[in-house]
Amino acid sequence: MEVHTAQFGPVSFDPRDIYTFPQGIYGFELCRRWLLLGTAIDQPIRYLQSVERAQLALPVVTPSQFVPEYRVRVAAEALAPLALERDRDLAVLAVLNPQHDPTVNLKAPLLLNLCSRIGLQVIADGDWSIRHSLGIAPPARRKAA
Amino acid sequence: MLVLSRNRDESIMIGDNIVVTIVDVRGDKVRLGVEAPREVPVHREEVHEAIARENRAAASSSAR
Repeated sequence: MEVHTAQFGPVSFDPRDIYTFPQGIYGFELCRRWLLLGTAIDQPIRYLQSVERAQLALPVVTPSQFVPEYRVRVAAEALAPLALERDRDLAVLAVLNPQHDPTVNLKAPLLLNLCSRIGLQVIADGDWSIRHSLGIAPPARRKAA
Repeated sequence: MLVLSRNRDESIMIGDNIVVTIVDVRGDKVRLGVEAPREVPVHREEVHEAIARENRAAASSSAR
């Protein structure tokens, strides 16, 4: 199959590589099918490319590369849609906002089951920032208002 | 939208396992208690909105 993306031109893919987000992604609830593009070892930024909307791609990074102490805490029941059988099938990604001061969203990570190809964007417990600046080493610990 | 009047300490049921209780009312501020199964995430709407906004911003910054 092929999707003619706005950013990367035509991208060929095997339908088995599609990640299904049964609940969509916040802000893009109707986009259920995504491809993970860009897996070069030396390139930290990858893209979740919408299969349904060719012009839509979300830049993502592995948050622990930038924030080593980052851990996602969510209720185990919230992970049920992932149908995770083994911990090693789980990948944690964070949306990168590549503006002049790039930030990552540590509050709402993307969890992928690499085996079943199911994805979820969850809201993590704890005081993680939606806009964690990559210029700052420790996570912004902000008190709830 | 379904609109229901409730007094303090009264509740509404959503389905058969979600209970929303009016815990306190002071002026414009209402405190709600939510009892829901753990697999039902409960968050303030602003959190949802902020995350949706951030996702849209990330997608459009990247498209430039």
